[in-house]
Amino acid sequence: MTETHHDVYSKTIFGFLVYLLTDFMMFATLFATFGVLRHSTYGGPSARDLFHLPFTLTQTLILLVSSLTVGLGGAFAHRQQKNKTLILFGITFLLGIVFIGMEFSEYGQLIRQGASWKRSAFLSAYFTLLGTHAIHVFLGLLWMIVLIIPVFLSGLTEASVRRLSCLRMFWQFLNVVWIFIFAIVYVIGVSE
Amino acid sequence: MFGRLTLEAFKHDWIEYLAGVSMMMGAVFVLVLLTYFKRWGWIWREWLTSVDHKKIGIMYIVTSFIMLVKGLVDAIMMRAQQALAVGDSMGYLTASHFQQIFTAHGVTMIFFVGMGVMFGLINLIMPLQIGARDVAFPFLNSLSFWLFASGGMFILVSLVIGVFAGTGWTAYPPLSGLEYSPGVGVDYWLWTIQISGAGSLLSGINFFVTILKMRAPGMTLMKMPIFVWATLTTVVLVIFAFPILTANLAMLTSDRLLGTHIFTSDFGGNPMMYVNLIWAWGHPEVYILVLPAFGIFSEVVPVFSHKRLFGYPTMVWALIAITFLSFIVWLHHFFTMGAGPSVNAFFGIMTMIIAIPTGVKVFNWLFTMFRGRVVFTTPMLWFMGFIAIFVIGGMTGVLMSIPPADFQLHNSLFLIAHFHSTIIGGVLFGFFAGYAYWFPKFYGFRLNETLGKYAFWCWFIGFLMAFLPLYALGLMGATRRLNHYGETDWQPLFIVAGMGALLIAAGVGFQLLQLYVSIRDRKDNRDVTGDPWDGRTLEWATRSPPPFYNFAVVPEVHERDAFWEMKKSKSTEKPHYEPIHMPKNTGMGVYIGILSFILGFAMVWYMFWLAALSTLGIIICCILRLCDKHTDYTVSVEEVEIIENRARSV
Repeated sequence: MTETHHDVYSKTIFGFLVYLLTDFMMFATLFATFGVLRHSTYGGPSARDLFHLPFTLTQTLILLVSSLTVGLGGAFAHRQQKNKTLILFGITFLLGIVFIGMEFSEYGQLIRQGASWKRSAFLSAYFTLLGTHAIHVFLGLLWMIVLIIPVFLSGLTEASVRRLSCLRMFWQFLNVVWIFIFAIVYVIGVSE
Repeated sequence: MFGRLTLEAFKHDWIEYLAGVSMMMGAVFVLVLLTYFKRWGWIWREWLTSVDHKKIGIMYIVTSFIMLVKGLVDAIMMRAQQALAVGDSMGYLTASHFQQIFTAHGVTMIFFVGMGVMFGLINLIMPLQIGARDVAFPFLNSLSFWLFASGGMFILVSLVIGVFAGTGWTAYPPLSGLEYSPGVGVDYWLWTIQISGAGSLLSGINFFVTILKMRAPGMTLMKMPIFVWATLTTVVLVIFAFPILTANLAMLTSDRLLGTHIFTSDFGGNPMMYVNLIWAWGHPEVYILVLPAFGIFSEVVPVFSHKRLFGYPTMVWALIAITFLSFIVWLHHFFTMGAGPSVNAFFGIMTMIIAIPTGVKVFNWLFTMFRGRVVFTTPMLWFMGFIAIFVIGGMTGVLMSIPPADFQLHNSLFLIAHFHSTIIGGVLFGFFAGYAYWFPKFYGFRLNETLGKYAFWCWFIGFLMAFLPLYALGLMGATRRLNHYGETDWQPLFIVAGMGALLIAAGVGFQLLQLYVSIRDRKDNRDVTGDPWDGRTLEWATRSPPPFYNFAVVPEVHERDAFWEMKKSKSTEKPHYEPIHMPKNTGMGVYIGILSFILGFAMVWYMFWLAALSTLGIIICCILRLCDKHTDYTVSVEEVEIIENRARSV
């Protein structure tokens, strides 16, 4: 019996990694498109006019801290330490909310400045790439709620540990994507 | 409330009405049959909700057969139009209807026939060949099928409600942008492919994990049957290529829906980026279709030549080389973009290099036949036809990989003839070989050989008649997608091509007749051994049709042709059964499929409230599935014994 549970765990984790690979390909496509269109500002504002690195750096740091908390949370889940798991995933959730709040406040500011996705191809590509990341973070948060409530109610089961491991991988993946966004869209964009 | 859906959407010309009515009559006929024979509960419990890879595979293939007939009708309508519309005559189709037909033909044949039959066969065969009891994620497999089916529904629904895209199956912007295609056609196209593509991607992940994690003990990678290798390389292509398509279509959708300017021709957008991305997916896609066919032939040829496959390691490395190379040739689809001589030269040379591993495979099959005791059964006929046609297709492909030659032939009928040679000659002939070869495994009786051979000759001669004239027409300057031409000299060749299409239709007719006659005479063709062809691989080790758990005892593998080896060292040891874990059936795949269809339909017609509701529904379904703790069950040793003994006594 333990044999089959082990099988389910290793199949699921491996399958989820492959899924993340496909998601990575999707982001690669969006990055490539952004790379092609990043100078196509059509007379509108460019990256240098729009972005403020300190603000984005704060977002990056928040995500990096959430990387740490979600990693620890996953480790505690494997050790069957329910309360610590709940606390750490809770902190991750809050950090995710703060991140996504900052994200949307930035979008709002851009749109108020007249730099919406309709302004130029550069901004279209920017909003598509960032928006896709934001949707992923949003789904990650939703998924966190769905997984955390059963843990709170009935403790850590085999299935919940497995699913929390997938969620942890998903979250780390999003942070890796964000590092690329930070480097390519913001740092290179502003310094160009 | 209904977005932009008004009564106007139901207005068509009489030919379109005819198509819509005949399609709906077909659907009503099936529903009446189900009600008359009181089979509703049966079809729901045994088929629609099944997570058994064998049943899902059969559902894929049945769906694909329906779509094949639909795509073939499209083809015949186009051929009829082109046989008639010359000089002063304008033919019987309007230009806008003709555009929809060639678009729908391409989408149907690539996504719902090519992909459908291959994913169907992979589902049926691959788990059996690796000695597994199911795929890694059986529920996901069911979901993949239902996403595929609901994607296909859009093409059929667009016959009745609204129109389909008139942009060609790759829908290049700016033509497919909102400015030039304001109607619902392109939106139907987008959601058809987006939803069925999501299903394909999930299948890809599923099969990949299945092959790498669930092989029978002892089956190392280099002991896998070649069809499994072909599947593995195919799904690697799916995993890397389909996300590109998803992202690309999402960007086109956002251009059309949200007013972004990624692929528009103003505001700095770049339509050529779309063309690059669609082919960065599209070229691997053609190998996604043909690699499984290569795998099928690699199974069929050794069995009917009574020899082991010639050059197994080179076959594997050829597959891997093709997998790799297929990602660095995409630009040969648009040399005329004008990327400059060095870029065109690189992609031209890469394209030529792909012919080398493909050539290796062709020679390996021929050497497998060399000095073998070849039996010319229907699958072997399909193989011989494949060699003839596919080699023509391959060589014209190499010809067009030379950029200056391509500038002459780009978008001509020569190109059309080339890719039909590879897709019909390669993919469809491969599937038909596999269909005749593996049919007895799943039904316990063989298909009628005589009618199978009639079908083959109709297809083969029909193909040559339909497409050799197109090579000539292409060289004479006829471009693709013409609904009218002034050059009366071309008409005889178009008429011959049209007759070829009719002959192919006769081939399909023979195949349907073959199915009917084989079922009627099934007592004469019965296979009681489970191994009607003296097979070499593990799927023949279990009986026909296989029990739902495939193998009562998981086989142990020592050599490459695992079953061949088992037959030689027949053990009389009493089998030692163990309890078997099996997944339970679930309707969740059907529900999510239906909700995805509603979501797509709502987005096509701008009914955003309905789109939001169905998205919510999909999320709730996923959560319910996560909360379901009773997703599998155990078959006890006693039950396995009862099932096995009953099968033995029959």
